[in-house]
Amino acid sequence: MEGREILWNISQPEWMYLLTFLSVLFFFYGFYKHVRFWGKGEEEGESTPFLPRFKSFLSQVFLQRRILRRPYSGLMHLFIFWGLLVLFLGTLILAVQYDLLGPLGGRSFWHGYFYILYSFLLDLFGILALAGTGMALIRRYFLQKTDAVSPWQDGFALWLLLSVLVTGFAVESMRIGVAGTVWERSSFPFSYLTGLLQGLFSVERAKALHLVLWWAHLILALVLIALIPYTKLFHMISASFLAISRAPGTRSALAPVFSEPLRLNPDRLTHLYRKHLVSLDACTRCRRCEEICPVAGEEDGFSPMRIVEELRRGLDDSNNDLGCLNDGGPLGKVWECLTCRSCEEQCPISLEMVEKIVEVRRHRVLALARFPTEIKSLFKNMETFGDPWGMGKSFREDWIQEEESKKRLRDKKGFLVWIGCQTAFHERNKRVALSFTKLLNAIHVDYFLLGKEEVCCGDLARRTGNEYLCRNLILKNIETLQKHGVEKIVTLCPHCFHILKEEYPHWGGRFEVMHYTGLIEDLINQGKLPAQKHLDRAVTYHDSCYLGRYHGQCEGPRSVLRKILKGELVEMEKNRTDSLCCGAGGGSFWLRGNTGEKINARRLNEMREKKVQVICTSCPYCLVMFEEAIRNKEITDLAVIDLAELINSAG
Amino acid sequence: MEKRGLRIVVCMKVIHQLSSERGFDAAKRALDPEYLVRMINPADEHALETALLVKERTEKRKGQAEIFVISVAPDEEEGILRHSLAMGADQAFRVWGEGFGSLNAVAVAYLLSMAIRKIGGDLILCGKRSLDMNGNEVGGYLSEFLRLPNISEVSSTDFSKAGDKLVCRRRVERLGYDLVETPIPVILTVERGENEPRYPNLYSILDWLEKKIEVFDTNSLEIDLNRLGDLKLAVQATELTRPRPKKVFTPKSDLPPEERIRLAMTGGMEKKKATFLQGDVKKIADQVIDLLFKQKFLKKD
Repeated sequence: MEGREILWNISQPEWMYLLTFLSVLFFFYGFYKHVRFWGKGEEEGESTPFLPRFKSFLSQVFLQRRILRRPYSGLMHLFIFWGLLVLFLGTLILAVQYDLLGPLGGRSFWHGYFYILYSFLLDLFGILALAGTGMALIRRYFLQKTDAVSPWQDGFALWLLLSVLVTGFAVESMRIGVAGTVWERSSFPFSYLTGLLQGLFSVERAKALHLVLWWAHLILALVLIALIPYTKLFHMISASFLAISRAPGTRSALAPVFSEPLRLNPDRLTHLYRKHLVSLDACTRCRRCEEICPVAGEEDGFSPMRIVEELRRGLDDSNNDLGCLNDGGPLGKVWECLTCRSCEEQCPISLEMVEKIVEVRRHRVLALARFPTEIKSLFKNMETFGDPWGMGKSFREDWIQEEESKKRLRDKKGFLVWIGCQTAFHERNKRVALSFTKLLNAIHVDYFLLGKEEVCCGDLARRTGNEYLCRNLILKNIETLQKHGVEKIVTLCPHCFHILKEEYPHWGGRFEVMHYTGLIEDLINQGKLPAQKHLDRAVTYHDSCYLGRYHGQCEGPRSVLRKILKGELVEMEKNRTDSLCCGAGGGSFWLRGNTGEKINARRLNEMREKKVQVICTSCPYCLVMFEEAIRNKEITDLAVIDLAELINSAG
Repeated sequence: MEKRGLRIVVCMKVIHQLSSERGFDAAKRALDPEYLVRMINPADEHALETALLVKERTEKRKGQAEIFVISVAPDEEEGILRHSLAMGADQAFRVWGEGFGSLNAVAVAYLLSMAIRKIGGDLILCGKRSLDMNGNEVGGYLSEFLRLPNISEVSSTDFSKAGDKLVCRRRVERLGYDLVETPIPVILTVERGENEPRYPNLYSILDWLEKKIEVFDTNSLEIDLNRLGDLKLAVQATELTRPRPKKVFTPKSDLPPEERIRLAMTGGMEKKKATFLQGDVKKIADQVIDLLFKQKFLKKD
């Protein structure tokens, strides 16, 4: 019968229990320190149902979808994760059986088919773990860019892991070589290895070596366990906590600062939430965010990862008080963030960097009133005139030239077309609004306009941290919308779309909101809008962050384009949810000179290489940014046009 | 005698932003209330910022200072006032009575002076002028009513070395500055200059949403209504006109095409050309005379 004697060849096993106890003690002390750090966070009021959270936890932790986006490091991580998980569970089952069930008189099940399956699985996953660790070491020392510096503990943890796995296999080989059963000797994968060893050692020597290796394996494994909370290996715990604490799909709305009627929890501005602290703890410094971020790249420049690191360090030192963190280091760069969320999209544990960056901005604006001077005039404009341009409502209806559209200001029938400040005041974007309304007029759709009653949607104020201003604008808008009994809103700008859809409900503004690309798609599908394959140009579609990445609406605009294009749609290298920001988001449009121009120029170079003739956008910010880049470079064979204009001229 | 702290009074005005020029009511000769955009006069915010800096400097010298803001404003403009008060005012007063209507600068200065007498002020700050009326008057009239010196167009101010006087920087020319030393009490009219008004923090904004703004009316200020009647708006708007639209240049149609394209490109502007005259003195003088004849500054008889 197949089976195995537990603790074969080991004398004085009581030392094992003592060492294990010490290791676990050390582990829990480190763990406690992390929990204490988390405990400094503010508690969040709302809780969400458990089941959906658990589902997303399973898919994030056990399937590792996010990490697998990059094949090499994804597989590497998957191997290590599953390898170590199975090895740990195997050892745990063994310990439970031997130390708990055994003394209680339970029958040993360490024999027969169970044992065969058990040892096969453990060997298999051990080899996976070994392969993963090897891949990680190769990556660390040969594949990675040289400028990526990480603390020595990161490399140390890998070597430790490797030594635990190697000694483990060596111990097994020795045991099988001396005392293994016939079946074991011929089994995968050690038959060859044990045969080799048998020739080399006598039984006595093999037993002595086994003893030494066994203790070495034990001590190394216990050191590894003890060190988990002190190295980046801790992400296995913190990231799991993060995954289960997060409701799927809520990533897109920022947490509000006030409760209504206007009340401010005194600690709200200076303290981060508990879930924020847990997620800071979960960062493994993998640098994916830094690699994808359109702004990062310069030494000592903006980097989402370094902001997370700085927050982790600073908030631990300062009892979770943002006020104690100075602006000298990475935190001084929070104003460069575009809030485009490509970092979050790439992050293997979906860490919400943008949320934290906005929390820092809020603290700087609301508590300290310390921020770049350009933003001050922006705030003043929005306070006084209700728009970032400082134009005022008397100019807001300027773009409405057709008599047919002017009628829509008076008769409030059908759905509302929300114009937005970027469209109502910018000369280029006025033409988009004009095209879109002409389109609707031509096919006699019932819609109406608010005209001068509209004020800024609040997105800009919110992303730049001025929650108070944003709240005032939102309340004003909700009052207007409810006065006119608005139920459905179609927006021209993805930024308005996002805030109206996701963030107005907190203030009681619940409307059916859609972006105009969705409406056009619907109208074409219903046959109300004719779409013919007219356009014979090389066209590419540029995904706006707030539509593509925030809301996953990538295919709608593309399907519309395919219906009017004679040829194929050209895709950029980074498209859909991986699309590169135009450089205008998160207030950067008004913080010129920072980074915006460099970013859209980079995108433009890529388009030139692909011989694109027309860039199609669906966001007023992207449109202006690209047009500016084209004008600056004096390019004549590339045009940028909004989807609404394209439909008009083609259909 | 117990030394009391420095009392700084800042006069502020809520103005009607003129960029809403599109919406005026021709019949009433006033801005259409629907399009009215109210805001604090920017120069007055600079005055408040100056006051805040003086307060900070006083506190650095272990002294005490308090900032009082006064505004002659109707009830509906109180909300606009509050946001600016959050910059750091300690107390605020509003002067308003029934039937005030449109007041001219003398009347406003008279009302302010009565209020300042009541509050007591050592350093009185006004904005240089308001963006809507552009009168540049109130500071001067206040000086007359309160019998105090007035330093105009101050861009920044600080204490003298001894600490008992103020040294004010006034901009006089493009690049020139006057430094004026003045005893306290004094009235300063502050120009939008070196100090950028701070943005209030949220705690202060929320505080000022609830703080009480005391209202002075004709009774509490013991105002002679007859006198105020004389001071009613002396200037009447007779006509409101929109700014003239920018002329769009179109080249004449009878010019040759090359010339028309050139004109269209330059917008009809001739490029300024400089000619250097060379030679000895007599030659240059002859050329100058020639040029004067050519450009028709001189005429040959």
